[in-house]
Formats: sequence, C-alpha cells, structure tokens
Amino acid sequence: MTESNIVMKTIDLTRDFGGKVVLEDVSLTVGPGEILALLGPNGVGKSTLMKLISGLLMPSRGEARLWGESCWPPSPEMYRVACVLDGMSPPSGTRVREIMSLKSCVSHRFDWKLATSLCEQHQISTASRWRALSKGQKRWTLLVAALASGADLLVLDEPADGLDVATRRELYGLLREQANDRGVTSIVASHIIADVERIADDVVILVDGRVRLHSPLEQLRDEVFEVELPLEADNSVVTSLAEVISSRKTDDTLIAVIRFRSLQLTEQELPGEISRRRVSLEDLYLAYTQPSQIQAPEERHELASERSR
Amino acid sequence: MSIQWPLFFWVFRPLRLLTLVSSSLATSYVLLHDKPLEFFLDLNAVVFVISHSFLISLFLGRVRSESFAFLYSQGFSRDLLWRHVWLATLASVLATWLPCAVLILTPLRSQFQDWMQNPWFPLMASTESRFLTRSLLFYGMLLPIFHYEWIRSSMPFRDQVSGHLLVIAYFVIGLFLNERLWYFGADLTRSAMFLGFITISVILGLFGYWLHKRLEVGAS
Amino acid sequence: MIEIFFLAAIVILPIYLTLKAWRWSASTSKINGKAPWSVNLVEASTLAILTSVMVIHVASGGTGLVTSPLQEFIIRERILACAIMIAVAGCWILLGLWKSISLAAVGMLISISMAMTFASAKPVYERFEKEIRQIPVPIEFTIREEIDEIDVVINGVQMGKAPLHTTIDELEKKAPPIEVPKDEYSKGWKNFGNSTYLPRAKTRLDRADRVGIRGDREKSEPMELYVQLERHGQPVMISGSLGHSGPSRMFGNIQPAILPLGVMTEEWHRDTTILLEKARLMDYRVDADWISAADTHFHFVRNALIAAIPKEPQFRQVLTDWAKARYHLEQVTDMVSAWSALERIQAQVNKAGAYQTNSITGEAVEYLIDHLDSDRVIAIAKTKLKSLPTISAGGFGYGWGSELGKPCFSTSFLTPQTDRKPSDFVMAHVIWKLDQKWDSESDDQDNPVEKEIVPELIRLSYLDPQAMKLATVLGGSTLNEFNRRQQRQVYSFKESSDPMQNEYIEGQYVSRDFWQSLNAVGPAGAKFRKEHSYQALELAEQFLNKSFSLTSLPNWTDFLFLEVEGREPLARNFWKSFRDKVEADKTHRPWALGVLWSYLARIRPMPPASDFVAAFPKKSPSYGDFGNPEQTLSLLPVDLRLQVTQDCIAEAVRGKSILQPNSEPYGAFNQIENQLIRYIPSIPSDAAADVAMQSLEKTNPKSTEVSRLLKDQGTYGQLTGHMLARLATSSDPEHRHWVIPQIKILPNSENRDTLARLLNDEDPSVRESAEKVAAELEELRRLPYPKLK
Repeated sequence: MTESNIVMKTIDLTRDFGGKVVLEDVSLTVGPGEILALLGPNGVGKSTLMKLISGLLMPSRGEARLWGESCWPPSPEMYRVACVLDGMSPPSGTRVREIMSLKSCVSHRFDWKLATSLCEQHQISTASRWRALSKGQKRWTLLVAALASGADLLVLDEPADGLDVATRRELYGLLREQANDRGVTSIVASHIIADVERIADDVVILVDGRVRLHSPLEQLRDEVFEVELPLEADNSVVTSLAEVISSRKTDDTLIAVIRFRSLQLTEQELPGEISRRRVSLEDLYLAYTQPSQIQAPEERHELASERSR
Repeated sequence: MSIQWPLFFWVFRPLRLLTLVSSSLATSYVLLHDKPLEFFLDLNAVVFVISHSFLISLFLGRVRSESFAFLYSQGFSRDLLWRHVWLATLASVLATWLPCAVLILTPLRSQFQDWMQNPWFPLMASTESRFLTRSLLFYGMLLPIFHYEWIRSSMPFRDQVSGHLLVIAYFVIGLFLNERLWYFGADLTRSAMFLGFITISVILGLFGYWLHKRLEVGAS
Repeated sequence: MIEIFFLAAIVILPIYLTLKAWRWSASTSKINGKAPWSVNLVEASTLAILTSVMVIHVASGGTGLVTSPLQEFIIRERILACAIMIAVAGCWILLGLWKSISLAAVGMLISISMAMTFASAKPVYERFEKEIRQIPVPIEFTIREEIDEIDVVINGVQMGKAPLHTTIDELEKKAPPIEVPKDEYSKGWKNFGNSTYLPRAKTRLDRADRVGIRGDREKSEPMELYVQLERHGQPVMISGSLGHSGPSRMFGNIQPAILPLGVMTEEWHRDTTILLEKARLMDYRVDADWISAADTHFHFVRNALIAAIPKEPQFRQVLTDWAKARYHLEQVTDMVSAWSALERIQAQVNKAGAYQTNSITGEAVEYLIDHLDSDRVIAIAKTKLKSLPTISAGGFGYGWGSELGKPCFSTSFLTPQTDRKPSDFVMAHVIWKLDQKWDSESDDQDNPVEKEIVPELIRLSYLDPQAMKLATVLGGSTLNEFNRRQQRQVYSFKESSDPMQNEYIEGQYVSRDFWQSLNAVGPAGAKFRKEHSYQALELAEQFLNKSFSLTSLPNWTDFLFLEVEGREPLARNFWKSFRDKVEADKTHRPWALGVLWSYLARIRPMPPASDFVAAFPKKSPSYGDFGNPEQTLSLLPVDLRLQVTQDCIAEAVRGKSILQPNSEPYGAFNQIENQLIRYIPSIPSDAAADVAMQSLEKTNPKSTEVSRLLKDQGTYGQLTGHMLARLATSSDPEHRHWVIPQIKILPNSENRDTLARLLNDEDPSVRESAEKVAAELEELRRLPYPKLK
C-alpha cells in the first residue's frame, strides 16, 4: 500500500478525557476497498477512535489522516465519510425522508433509489417519524443513509445493534458489495464477531486503549491454533515456535491459543503429546482479551526477575 | 453563499417553538404597548432581546445532545454548518421582528393605537423606527457573544468556563456602565465605550467562527 | 435596588469566582491542556477591551466616586487609576499569551474595576478634603452693566479693575476683614428708580462648601467683606446687598463665586432721567442723536425703559425705535432683508451668549415678525425639533417668564449652557410670536405653528415635559386632541412606578399624565378638571401643605384658575384652604395680602370686591402687615380698584374704632388707611378722580393726606391723566398749582397742552409756576444729550 492510496492512517493517535487515557499511540493504516473490523471489550476506546477518525474529537496527541488530510480540525474531505456512531441520533420528530434529504445535502452522489428501496424492503416509510421506528428500524435507517450516501469511507460503530440475523447478513453483504464494486472502505466496530469474520479483511483488537492486534484476517486463520498438552509436558517447543496468546489449565492438561511466528513455522511437526486445531476469530478475540496463564520465555524471565526484586 | 435548505430546516428545528413564542410575544407587545417604543428606556424590550438571544444560542448550542452530534457527524463542512447556524439565528430574529417592523413601519401599530385613542399616536409613529434599529443592533451585539460562549465551553481545553466568564464580565461591566453606553454619539467617551463593546462582539463573532471549526462533538 | 445589586456584584461575584476558580482549576487541569495561544490572545484582548472601557469610564468621570463633585481634584487619582487599569489590561494580554485566562483573572478584572470606582471613594475623598483647603477658591467681581474703568475696593483696599479675578486667600491677605458699624454701613443709600443703591455693599463669602460623598453639604465659616466701587476716582454705588455667596461645586468642578454688581451714580441716573424726559418731550419718537446718547448708557437706559413701560406703555415705541436703529431694521423691506436681519441678531446673540425676550434684542425680533418668511421659520424650527431628543438638553430651550402664563425665552449670562445656542431661543421667540399673530388674525383654524410645531413639541414631551409647557402656550387642535385622549389614561395623580411617567412638582412626584391633563388648556382640559375636580383639589391641598415661603403666588396654582367645563374654576373651591394657609403663615405677613389678592385677581369671572376686602386683615394688625398696598392694589383690575380701596379704608376705620388710639394695631390701621387714601388719585378712572377730588374738599378730615401726596413733587407718576385733568380745571388755584410739577415729571403732549393753558391762568402764582416749568422744559429741550464718558 503506497502513501497515495491510503484511505485512513493514524499515527500515535492518543486521546484522554480529564486525565484518563482512553486511546494511546494507535497507529493504523487502511487502504481502499478494505473492511477493517475493530474489536475490543466495552470501553476500550473503539468509539473514541471512530470519532477521532470522523473529525468529531480532537486528538490529545498524534494524528488521524483521511486521504492524506488531517482529521483535526475537520477537513473539507469529510463529506466522503459516512458515520453511524453510537449516541448520535436525529431529533425524535424527524421524518426518515428528512434524514435522507440531509444526507443528500452532503453529497451529490446520494442514491435516492437505493435508499428508498432499502427502506421499503424493511417496511420503513420515508414519511415515518423517528420516534415511531423500532430500535432495529432506526439503526437500519441510519445505515441506509450511510450506504446510499456514496461515501468513500464508512465508519460504523456497532452497526448490527438491534438488527435481526437476516438484516445483519444483508448489511454485511452490502458492505462487501460496495467494497468490491466501488472500493468503499469500511471501519466496523462490532461485538458480533461471527458476522465480522465473514466480511473483514483486516482485524484490529484494542485492549486498554492500545492496539493489541492488527492483522489481515486470512493470515490469522493460517497462523493461529489452539494446542493441548499434558501439564507435565515440556512446552518449550511451543513457545519457541509461536507466541502464546492465552492459556488455561484443566486437571491434567494445558490448553493454549498460539500464533506461529511465521507461516512457514506452521508446517513444523509438534511433539506427539501436543495436539493442535484451528480456532475461530471469536476464540482468537477471547484469547487476546483474556490474560494468559503461561508466559513466553522472555516474559517468564521478566516475571522471575521482578519477583526476585 | 449557498443555502442548503434541508440543512437550514434541520438547524432551525430547535428554534421553531422559541421563534413562534418570541414572535407572538413581540408582535403583541409592539401592537398593544401603549407607550411610545424607546428601546433603551424600555426594560421589557431589553430583557426580551437578551432572553431571546440567550435562548437562541442555548438551543442551537446543545453540543452534548444526541441530535447535535448526529448533525455534526454527517460530513458537512464546519463552514457550511456555521453559516447555517447563523442563518437559523437570523431567521429566528427576523421572524420575530419582521412582523413588528411591518406593524411599526406601515404604520399599523400607530393606526391601531390611534384607533384605541392613544394620545401619543400617530404623533410618535415617526420615532419608532429607531426602536427596530436599536433592538437589531442589540441582537447584533449579543448573539456573537452568546454563540461564542457555547462554542468555547465545548472546547477540549483547560478553563472551559472562560466563555461563560467572559459573558459574565461583559454583562456585569455593561450593566455597571449601562447609562453611559446607550448614548452613542453623545460624546467621545460614551462613543468610545460603546465602540469597545461593539469591538468585543466583532472579535468574538469572528473568533467564534474560527473556534467552531475546532468544536468537539460527542465527547463522553 | 440597583445599589443592592452592585453591592452583591462587588462582594459576592469575586468571592464566588475565586472559589469556583480554585475548584475548577483543580478538576479541569488534567483535561487536554491549555488552550492554543490564539484563544488566549483573543480572550485576553476581550478582557483588555473591557478593562479599557472601565479606564475610559474612570477617566471621564464615571459614576459613584468619580461623579462626586471632586472631578477637578481627583485628576491625579484618576490618572493613577487609569495607569493601574492600563497595566491590568496589558497583563491580561501577557497572561493570556503565556497561560490561558484563569477564572481568577476575570474575577480580578471585575473587582479592580469596581474597586476603582466605588471602594476607593473614601480614601480619595479624605485626601481631597485635606487638600481642598489649599486649592485657591476663585472669586470674580463683575459689573452687570458694560462699563469699564471701574475700580474694586474691598474692605477699603484697592484690589484692581473690574472684572476682578481673585481668591479668598488673596482677599484675606490683602484686604483683611474690617468692622463697619451698622449705622455707617446703611448711611448714604439712595433709590434710583425702583432699586436701592448703596455706597458700600456687604457680602458673605463661603469657601467651597464641603460636599460629602452623598452630596450632603457642610458650610464653612464665611468671610464677610465690604465692596466699594470707584470710577475715575469717583464713588460708584452698588445695587442692594450682595447677600451670601460662594463658590460652588458642579459635577466635580469648583465654580468660581461670581459677584455681579449692579452699578449706578447720581450722574448716570440723572443722565438716564434726562434721556427719558427728553423722550417724553419728543412724544416718544426718539431721533438718532437720542439713540446714540442712549447707546452710551445702554444698560441704564434700557433698564429704565423696561421699568417704565408698565406705567407708560408709550415707551415701548422708544424701545422699538432703538431696536430698529441698533439692528439696522430700517433696511428691512422684504423677506430676504428680514431674514438677514434675523441672522444678524442671532449671530450677535450667540456672541453675547445670552438672550432675553424682554430686551432691545427681543424688541427687534418682535419687530421682524411681520416681515419674516414664516414658512422658512416653521421649516427650520421643525427640522431642528425633529433632530432633538429633548428641548431642554438639545438647544431649542426656553425659560419661563415672571408674567404668568407667558413664556419668556431667556438664557442667563451667569450660567452659560454649552449645549445650547442662545440663537435657538430667538427662534423659539419667533415661533411663539408668529402663533400669537396668527391666532389674533383667526383662531378658528390651526395655524402653521399649531400644525407643524406643536406635534413635534408633543413628541418631545414624551422625554421632556418642558416641551409640553411650550406646546400648551401654542395650543391648537393637535394639542387639544392629545389632551382629550391623554385623559382617558388618567386614573390618579399618585406617583407611578415608572419614573418616566412622573413629574416632580412642589417636592413630590405626580403622575405626568394627570398633571398635564390638569394643566391642559381648551375644552379637553376644562372637561378633565370637571371630572377630576375632587382629585385636583386633593392634590392642591398636598401642594399647599408642602409650600413654604409664600411671598408670591406659586406656579403650581396655575391649574386652579383654568376653565372648568360648566363650573367655576377650581380656585373658587380652594380659596378658603389657600387663604387659611397664607394667613396662618406669620413669617410672610407683609406679602400675605399681595398673595391673596393675586390669587383672587386671577379667578374668572372676577370675584366681587367684597371677596378682596374679606382678605384684608381685620384683627390686631401690626406695621408692615399690609406690605406695599399700592403695588398690591395694582394687581386688581382697574374697575375694582376704587371699590376695594374704599371698602378697605372702611375696614381700617372700623378696625380703628374698637382699638385704643395709642396701640400698635390702631397705628397700623391708621397707616394703611392713609396709604389707601393717597392711592385713590392714582387709580386711572374718572370715578376715582371724582372721589379724590371730593376728598380734597376742606371739610374732609383726610384732605390733608391727599394734599400731601399732591404737593409732593417727587411723587413720580402717581397722578393719572383723569386726576390731572380735574385738578387743572379745578376752581381752586391750589389744585391747579399741584398740576404743574406733575407736568414737569410727565411732559407728554397732553400735559404740555395743559401747561400751555396754565401759562394763561388767572392766578398769578399758578402762571408763575407754569412759566417756570415751561422754561425748565425748554431748557431740557435744549440740553444736549448726555453721554457717558
């Protein structure tokens, strides 16, 4: 990815609120047509990151850029971004039509036909008032406005919140379609990892305001495994080949999620008492967000020296 | 300067009820008030303009509300939003005062008061256009300051209350000097003091525009 | 209320802000850091501007401390205050650039600003009080008349020529106080015309009053001094006592004590008398030589003429001729020349800095009325009025003359008003006269003044009640309609909560609408007074109770005499209250009869003579209780004077009859009886002359009283033409004899004819006296016009 075709780039992006650091030194890059899944537990800074990217918040340190332009103060390029963020909704008396009209003011590429048909498919009349819509309809209306806006970047925070399975699938289908057809980039934060797994190109896992993982999803599928070995077995082989992401003990076995340090290392044979199997993104997410019980050699060493002190 | 009507109506939405009430109040007052209208001698009018200006800014500047964040997250440039904030402000002021202006200038008010056997009419009709210009001037002085206040208090800097305090200082000193400020042109010192207040309005109006580009939205 | 607010603002706000500042700074200091320099700069600049506004406020006088009357003195304090505040303004900018504006900074700004104007008042004032003693308090002795070369002698020490500018300290040093015995002080006084002149006048001079912060005054011990004047080594007399005087403090400036001295010498008085006598000899058509001589005695002759006009209205012609010559009005032939003459007059008035209707200039203006382009006058006046916020502050002002109900457009030489042009008073005078002229031609329809000017005045009266007074004088249908409508809004005379709706009359606030309606002329006013008579009388009662010093009829009584629809004026109903109050006021007895008769004389229809007589003191009067009966009686209409005088004489006789002849009340009644008897020959009516002639009959016990008057050659103008005609044709040569000195006093054509007849009188002594007076008049005729050197 060359500098010229980077859609979004953050450099050491940091933000604190009243002294509490919510996001720290986040450096990410997203290219055109990519779908980036932003994962992390509640309060980890996903929404803050999205607001920083959308030009709604000022960074405490670092910078976010869209198409090479700084997001703060908001650049005129912001019309190319469509956001659906949490805690932002139109006044209760607004009609669906007005929301679409407002969106159409931002960009002349707004697709009225698409917007109308997507609303009609979900029994949402454009004359309906906001307060009359169900939770899922409200979310869908905002997503439709974003999807129909012709934006080059979609920033969606929990887009599937309140949507049924079919609608979620339809949404992700549309995202993939827009990415493939027009090269629309999407940054999607979601707790429903199974859905994201279907469409994401890249995954970012935030833990405690920092990027714990940023990797293409395909690569993760190939490199991450769950291994199981007896408690008394020597695990040095595992730790030498792979990074232990998390581990847990049962009565006589140790189960760990590991990531091989490279694709080639996955080819190597492990000792007979160690079994391995592929893991889902959900398992991977849990592994990243839960504390590990066995340490990598260097980590172990650090721990020992700390204890001796 | 282009006006995006859907955006204008959206921004104006919180002012609809206020404008309806203020317009009705002002129109009835202008029609029914039985004394000649003299802006700076009429405490009701002064309080009305201060309250109306303050409420316009309060309703337009509810930065922490979901609907405000929604609007600002829609990708409009800050310039466009700023322009429409002022258009909505102007619309509320004009919707309030245009009927009054019509009543005063046509001069329906004078005729009505004349019909009501008010001794001062139609004699005083010719002096009342001053009431309009002075009240609009007062809006012009107050609105930039009130708008600055909500923008400044939403900035993520230390001393967020500076905006409020500047307004307090402006009003305390304005009130303290009130009698000396109203007679612009009466003498050099009064004019200088009045111009001082005008300058503050101009500075804060222009700087409000600059700060609005850096307004934080949806901080939680 | 506003004080409580300010107190709260001064005390509570800074404390509140400081506490908040501490709390906020603690809680917000960890947010994303200080604001960018641009924000700080702008906010610091805003504070700097607010500070500068306060600097201007403090520097220009401000309110609170700085409006107190210390302005002259506290210039140093103000410079210090300004310096501090300019430094504060600078600090905001530096502070703002360095760190963001702290909350305490705003609190400080407000505190300092207010402290500068309020809290610092006391120490500054105390320093002022210490230093005021060292400030030379200026005194000016000026001469009212335009006469130069007059030396001022104070306490017997030559101080220099008038106008003399000095100070109290200099006076104390150069002319220490002297004791002049009372007898010696009052010795040598003289009456010239109606005024008393003294060779040495006494005055008491205050230092600048000590003025408290709240405007309360504390008098210091005054300095007593005696002033004498000399011209070319000859003494010049000074008009009356100078009374109490002293510098005053107005809006912080110490105004010098100005002592305007009216001057006169026997020579000047004689010259003035000669000029007036020669004017009479010329049958009041004076020539250019007379005018040039009068010009040299300008003030004396002008004052003498104005004083003489009420008794000898023919002198108005002299005033007019003089005005014509002085302002070259002979050249006025058309509108254009009249306008340029008016402009000339206005320019001169502005140069002189004052204007009075009752003057040569006023006469000139009145002469021009018939020649002026009235449309142009109206247009100019209308434009001027349209641009004014008020007439009293805006320039188109006017004063209120002593003649009741008539405006007297005048400014004063002593209180120059910088914001007014005296020439505007000329214009106001023209407007008034034009209205009078048009009203006299036809009063049916509104004239241009009533159409164009009165509406503007009513408009101005919203902010300036003075304008309504002028509008009331001019009248017209607009005013009438205004009054009619205004009455609909009136419910009570009680003070309104809106200060704009009140007027301050006789020490109390009254509803303005009520007051204006009560004083409105025309049918609307008459109707209002009928409908609100109860309230009007209640209000009059309140005023009366607040009145003190009733030496003349107070102005507030005007409404009592105005027309009431279908009824007698309110003055009738109020008469008893008024009389009781005036009679109860012992300190003003000498004026009491005059005040009561002035009151009665204004009631229409005129009350009967018995009402006037009823006001005459009946029980135990003392000397002086009757004041000046001649002057008092002249307030009455001519046809009532004789009846009232005779009835009063009868009252005095009745009063005497029950008193001991050597008691004071008896003496007082006797004195007033004699005064009244002597007054009868001066009543200008045939009936009075008949009565006077009867009283001269030898059988009349009071004949000597009348004779004494008639013999008194110095009694100027006491005898009317009616009386003179009877005396001149009397069969008694003594009576004919008495006529001759009166002819000398008033040598008009009618009297000169009588003199011509008396030159051939059958009685030789009458002939001799007549010849003597004829010779004196001839000598007077030949006498060159006296000129002031």
